[in-house]
Amino acid sequence: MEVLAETLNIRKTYEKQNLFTKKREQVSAVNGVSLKIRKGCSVGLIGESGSGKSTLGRMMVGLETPTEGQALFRGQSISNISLRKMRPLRRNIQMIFQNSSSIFDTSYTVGESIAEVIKNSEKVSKKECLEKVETILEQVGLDALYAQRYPKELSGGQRQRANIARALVLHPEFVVCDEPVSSLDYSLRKQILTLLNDLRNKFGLTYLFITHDLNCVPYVCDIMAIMYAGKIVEQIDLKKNSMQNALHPYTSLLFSCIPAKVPAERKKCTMESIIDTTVIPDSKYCCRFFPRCPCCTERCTNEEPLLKEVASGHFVACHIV
Amino acid sequence: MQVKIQAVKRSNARFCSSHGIINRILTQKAAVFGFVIVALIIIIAITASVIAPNDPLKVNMSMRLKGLSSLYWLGTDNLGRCIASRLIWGARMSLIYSMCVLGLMMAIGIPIGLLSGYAGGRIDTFIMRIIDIFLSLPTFLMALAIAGMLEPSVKNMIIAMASVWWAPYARIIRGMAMQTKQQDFMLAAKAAACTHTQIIFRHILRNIAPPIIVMATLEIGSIILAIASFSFIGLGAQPPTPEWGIMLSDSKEFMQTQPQLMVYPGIAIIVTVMAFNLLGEGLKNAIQN
Amino acid sequence: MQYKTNQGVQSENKALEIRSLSLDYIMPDQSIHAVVDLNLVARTGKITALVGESGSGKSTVALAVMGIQDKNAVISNGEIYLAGTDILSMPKKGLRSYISNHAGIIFQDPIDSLNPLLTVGEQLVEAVLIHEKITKKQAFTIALNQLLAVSLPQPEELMKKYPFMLSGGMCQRVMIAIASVFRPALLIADEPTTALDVTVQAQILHQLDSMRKRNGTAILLITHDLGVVAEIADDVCVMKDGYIVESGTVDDIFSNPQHLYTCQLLAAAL
Repeated sequence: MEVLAETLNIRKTYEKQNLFTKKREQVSAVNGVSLKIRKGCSVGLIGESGSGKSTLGRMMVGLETPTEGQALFRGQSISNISLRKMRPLRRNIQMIFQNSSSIFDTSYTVGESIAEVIKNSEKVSKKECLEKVETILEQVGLDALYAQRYPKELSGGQRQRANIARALVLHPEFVVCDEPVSSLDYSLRKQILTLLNDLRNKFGLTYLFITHDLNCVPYVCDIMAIMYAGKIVEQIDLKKNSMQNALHPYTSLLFSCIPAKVPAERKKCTMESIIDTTVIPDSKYCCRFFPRCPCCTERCTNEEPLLKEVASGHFVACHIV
Repeated sequence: MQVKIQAVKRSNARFCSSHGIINRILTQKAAVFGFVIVALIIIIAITASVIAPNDPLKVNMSMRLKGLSSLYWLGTDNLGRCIASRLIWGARMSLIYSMCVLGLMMAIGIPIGLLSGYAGGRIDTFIMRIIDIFLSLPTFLMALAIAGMLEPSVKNMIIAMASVWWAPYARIIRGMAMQTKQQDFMLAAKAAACTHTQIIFRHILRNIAPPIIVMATLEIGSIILAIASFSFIGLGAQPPTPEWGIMLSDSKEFMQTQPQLMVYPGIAIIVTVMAFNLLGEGLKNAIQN
Repeated sequence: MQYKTNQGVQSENKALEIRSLSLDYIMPDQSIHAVVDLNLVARTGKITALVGESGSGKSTVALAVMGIQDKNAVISNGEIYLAGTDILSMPKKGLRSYISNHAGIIFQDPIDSLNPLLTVGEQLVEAVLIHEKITKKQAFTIALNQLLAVSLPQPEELMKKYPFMLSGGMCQRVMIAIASVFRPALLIADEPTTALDVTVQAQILHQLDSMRKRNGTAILLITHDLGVVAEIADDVCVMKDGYIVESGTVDDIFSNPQHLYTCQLLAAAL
């Protein structure tokens, strides 16, 4: 299968100036990630806050420029190109944003926001544009009359559907979904995930599905990638392996911390002591998880582990495995 | 609790949202008062030629310094001209001049502020240094100096004021543009393949338009005062134009004997400035909430 | 709406008992029934989960119990027995101190709940001094012990830090420390882990659980996440549109839900 989107050792660092000491420090959000996404093979990117997953997603859509490395779409670099050159590519690369309430310009109706996407990429008459808007709204489960409503008049779930409509109206090939269900009520999550999966099958989309919730993964993803401190630490092809075969200590930790589905399955999280999760070793020469790892060895503090294939479609970056 | 929207109705939501602002203004008594006075002044200004009892420029030395009468509603000034007519025409003059100054200020300040705020980087730094230079000059004196250097006339007064007073607005608009640029929907606009121009006009300008309108309304009062001051010292409108500042200036000598000659234009200025300020505050509160 | 109750809840010591509470939001053009005829019990030493979607009125209940509801919110009926006394019929004079001595609350966004201009130490000491007339030094020691009790490392260093220097999980622990400084009978946790990562969530839930075991505090856990409920709750009340539609022990609710809405919620689990 052809490679649709990929990153080549991409890095993103931010400079932060300490308020009090006035020292400039480098904060790296993404630390050298090389990820290949093939057409038809949706990837789920799992990580906690601060892991760099949203930054990686934005770089793959061309909304953020990397400090080093590149993001490619169909072999063409989209990282440092001008807005004008990026425009024709936009109809094939879209993003579903996390915070549905602030992602719409509140001075326009939902229909106008969606129409903006259409008019920027295609020359269509007013009537055709309206038809397209109404079609996509119906496909995401909203009545066509919602096109005349303002974003603040919609509920959280409806706004997120409108968000999805805006991203998918031009039937792009590659869609980055940045935590699309995190801000929604528990009861709506399954509906939206099912919708995303249906649309994926209908339009032949490929997703990069960014989330912090492992439970979402089986709904829309073919490959699962776990991200920690700006690096991918494990990657599993779910068609060939089960999620339960995860080997990296961080993945095991994530699994152990998922709340039970029923009271009978209650388990205690093994992390009794509190390790300050804001402290992550900054050096390139060690495993970034070692302060929290229960099986850390000397080698982990001196040498950075690289992703290696341990089974077909299963890659882990760990010295122990 | 049944607040959820159950039925989908065709609603004219845009009308509703500006209606919302109008409702919020209507709840503030002071703002309503200001609005009524402003509306009255605008009506007076527009219909000046119809409602003024006499010709404001007609000199009639035999009728000078007369008191109230049915022909001369507020009496006459030192040259026999009808004070009431001059006040009414003065409203038109003040509004026209102040709108010109405001318009010019915004025409210079808004594009510069938007460009500086959106572009960032070196362009922003360069423009900010220019704005800093303008801000560090005493604005009123600068405007006076420019007006003084050019031939005293209304046109030069307007140019002088606008050429100095655009700077504070450009700075505020730059700040607002920078703030709007950080919002999430800007990312969405880029993802929607909008060009820079589209982003600036369709999104940034549209979002900062309400606070700009508020600033403009609050500023009109100060502009009217400034125009009156300029005219008072002879650098703005020239006699015999019926302008409130000139009326004040003309009645300087009669301050002790005929104080009403100063009181009438003075009250007109006070009431107008206060009305615009009240309206502006009301708009600000309505938009903020 | 039919009110179903499971008879599994025994009447042991009740830290909080709400009887027939009705609360309305009075607006200029309409009045909204936010809470209707609500009955709820939070037992001492148990975790009671109040589950519902956003807009169901669960946060309104929490604010009403703490006496910090909106100006427009009017309690039209009902009684709230906090540690045995009906706070709705108490005179205003001693009400605030009674509530703060017997109940504490933690909110969803921990970083926003703390004052950004005061250090953690200052805020903790302030909380201590509100309850007891002791010297600042004594209050400082109590504050330090409280930070240790919520398993925060290096408490002396932490006392000097500002909230923005801490992670979300640590801020939430500080909030728990502040809310539980004098071992209140009831701790209300309004969606305490919604804004946190899953590993941090596990730690916070574990923290709440151990606090409950150690101090015998009753915890009213407000959430929309049934996973959290399954993980630590003892009793469950399901709320929809201002009504409690079903209540019972956690085992009963999960294995044998009676109301259609409860079944829908359980089916919506991922």
